[in-house]
Amino acid sequence: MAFKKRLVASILVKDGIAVQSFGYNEYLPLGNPVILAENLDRWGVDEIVILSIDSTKKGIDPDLHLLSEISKRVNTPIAYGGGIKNLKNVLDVIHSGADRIIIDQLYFQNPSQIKMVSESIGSQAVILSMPCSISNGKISHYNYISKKSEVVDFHSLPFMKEYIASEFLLIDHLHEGKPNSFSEEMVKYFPNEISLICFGGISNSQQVERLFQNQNVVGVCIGNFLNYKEHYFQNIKLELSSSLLRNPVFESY
Amino acid sequence: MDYEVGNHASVKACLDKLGFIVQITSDVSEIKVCDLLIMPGVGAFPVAIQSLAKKNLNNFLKEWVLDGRPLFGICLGMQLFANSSTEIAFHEGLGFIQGNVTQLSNHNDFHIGWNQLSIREANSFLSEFDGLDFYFNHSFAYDNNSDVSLASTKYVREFPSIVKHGQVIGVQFHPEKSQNVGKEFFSKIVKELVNGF
Repeated sequence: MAFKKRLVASILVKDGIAVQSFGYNEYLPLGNPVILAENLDRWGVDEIVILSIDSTKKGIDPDLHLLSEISKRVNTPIAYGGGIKNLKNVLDVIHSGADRIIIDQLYFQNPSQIKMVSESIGSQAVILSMPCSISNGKISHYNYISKKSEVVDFHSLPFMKEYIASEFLLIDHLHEGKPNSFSEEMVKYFPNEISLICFGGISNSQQVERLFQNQNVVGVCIGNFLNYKEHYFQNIKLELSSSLLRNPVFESY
Repeated sequence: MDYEVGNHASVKACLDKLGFIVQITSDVSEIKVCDLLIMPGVGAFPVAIQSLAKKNLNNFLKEWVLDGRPLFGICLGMQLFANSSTEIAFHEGLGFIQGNVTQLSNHNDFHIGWNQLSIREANSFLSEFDGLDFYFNHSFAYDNNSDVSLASTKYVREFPSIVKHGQVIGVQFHPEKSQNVGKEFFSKIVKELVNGF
């Protein structure tokens, strides 16, 4: 297979520091996000997701300085989320080196803005972030500002049909940080034509492979678990079929 | 060229690392003294073509190409070289490389991720990149036209991933985001274009 699925690495940034997040409420510092991004670049990750997790909460703009510093040092595709409130923020983020933007709150608060954004930068550059959980056979969307969950039918939401975004970042927010715990059944609550990147509690190659068996899962994102073992990222790729993903990179550049 | 759409910062950072002297500008007097003009691109076709027209850069680009000076387009930058695009609505392109840009399929397929190049000529200087993975991020592409295509890639349909006419070259993928392979490609193509390709 010529076209590859993506093994994506995430960097969560809080107060300017990369952190491990556990269930959206506990955090451990990891260090300088720029250094982490350089390592991920050397390891040959397929894409780097940078989420500035406190920008929207604090009402501050995207961290363009950080993004700019990272983009100067890496040659890996970057998707950035956090603090994006309007078209100006979007253009600033793209001009600072991101290839794609991740939008979380805006599509519920102001859906018309999203359409404007996708017409400006192209919907291939727009990812919608969906922190979700499953309870009693129903999927709920979690609003991390209000800290409330609401049952959602993703088949009936109007913006699902308008292709204002190319992919959805499906986050299992309850299991984030817990090994091998991503609720795989969440995938079935999304229409088949919606491309998903799964994130939260994904820690081993067997789970990655099971998720990739879903045609609409185009990427799997790993964050916390990259920090526990040597060559973690490369080894997951080695354990998976070489036709599914790009080959791992072990060299330093 | 800064035409207000595009990821100039990433392209400049990559070329800086490779040792080239790079300037981001929309000032014609500054562009004129450059050896190579690059048009990066992240954005939608209508916004980009309108932005070029608004700054009168479309006419400058036509003069540049008529003079036989080298021009390199990346992703949307490449698509602008076509005769037209149907992204959002029909719009005329710059018409530097024959062909029309159309959707990959009628099902809103997005080609996002890593995919291989199939180089058409075995003895091309590009042949070392045959079968290697590059990063793509698009849902529109040139129609298949073997006359202008140096390489093709398959996703939903086969489409030209490198197009050339004279000293104008466009690539649908992002060399600046394709890690070590991308850097090697970028370095090679810049040198080839500057020295006459």
